[in-house]
Amino acid sequence: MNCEKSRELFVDYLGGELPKTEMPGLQEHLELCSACRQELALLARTKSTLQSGWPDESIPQSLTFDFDSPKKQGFWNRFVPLRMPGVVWASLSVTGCVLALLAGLALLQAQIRLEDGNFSLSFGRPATSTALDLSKTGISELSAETVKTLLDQSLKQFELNQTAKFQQALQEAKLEWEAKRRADIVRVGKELKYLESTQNVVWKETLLNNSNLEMLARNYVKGAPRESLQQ
Amino acid sequence: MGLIRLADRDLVQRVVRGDGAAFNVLVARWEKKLFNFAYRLTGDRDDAFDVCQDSFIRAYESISQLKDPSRFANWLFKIARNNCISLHRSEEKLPKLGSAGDNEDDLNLEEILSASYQVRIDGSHQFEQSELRLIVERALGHLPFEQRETVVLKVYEGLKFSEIAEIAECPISTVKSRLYLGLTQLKKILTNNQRGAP
Repeated sequence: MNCEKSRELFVDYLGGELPKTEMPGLQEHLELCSACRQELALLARTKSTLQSGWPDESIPQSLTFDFDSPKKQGFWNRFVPLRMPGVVWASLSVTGCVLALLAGLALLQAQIRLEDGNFSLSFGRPATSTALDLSKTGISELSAETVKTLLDQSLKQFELNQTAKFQQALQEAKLEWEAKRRADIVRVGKELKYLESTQNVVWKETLLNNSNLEMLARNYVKGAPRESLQQ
Repeated sequence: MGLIRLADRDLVQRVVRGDGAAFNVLVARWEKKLFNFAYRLTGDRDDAFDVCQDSFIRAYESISQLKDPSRFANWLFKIARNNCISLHRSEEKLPKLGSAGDNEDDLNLEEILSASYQVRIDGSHQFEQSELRLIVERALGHLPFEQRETVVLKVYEGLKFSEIAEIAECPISTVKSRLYLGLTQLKKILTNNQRGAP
């Protein structure tokens, strides 16, 4: 094997991909040729210097991609004013329903009467022919006590429903708040980590600057006698 | 979660089916390698971080186009490499893609190399780690981009010649030639043989 062929194999050797069949020939040539031996040794040293001189460093900020948020975020959530807690939405819904009911009754010109234990409901202008006269429907036979009991039950049921809805809305608000709190903690944690890595970077840069200054100082000290000799 | 134990190929298949968590496992597995690869190509920490982030986003967007899921890492390196080239083209940021020796940075390196405590890798001088880092970083910056990426992929990432050829989109013989030229150039810079010892 001559030097030219030997040096063609240097890259394979340095890259760790030299075929086993080529190894004996290369070894034989290197034993005989000191120039090739020195060249290969320096190239190998260059490779190891590169590796040790610039080792891997950690990424300044660890990457995490949030793929689910865009899908979960619905159309309405894009509007900031509509992002209100559940309890507010529940209250607004109840109020809206009551207002809608009252508006409906008003449109129908409803008249509700409760006189002497008799409950009457009529629509439109007061007219004896169209008014819902409870006395003619048999309901008049119900005593005032029974009507009161029925109303009480209805009110209690309504109260229970409202309380349950309120509790549910409150629970949802608590969960939402808790999730936000956790997300904030995670975010702050990440930011602290980033700050820490930034400090590391600054520290490393400071080290580099110090070494540069040291090198310049040494250079200056070694250069000074030459200048004085020239003078 | 057993995702972390899965091979790249299985994780890629999950990502294709819409599993975002699987992609985050891939990101955690390769972000450091990719960042350092980009850092050594661009020579700038911030640019490297941007390249790294963009590469993962592009990988996610086009992961269904990956024909062989087991080659995810090489595919990712190729995306990052192309991002580095795009960055260079848009901002002329990659250090010294063409000829070296015509700007202030070269002068600084020349000063370092010509100093009486000159850079030698033949064991005649022991360097502080920070000094060595500076020297290696600047020496790599003197290489043309093609040689630089070949040296980085071989020396630091330990890829095979065939894998580098796939990433750099060139024949294996070209890869070998670039590596030899690159190492020879670096050897000259680091040993400073041309200037001679003091």
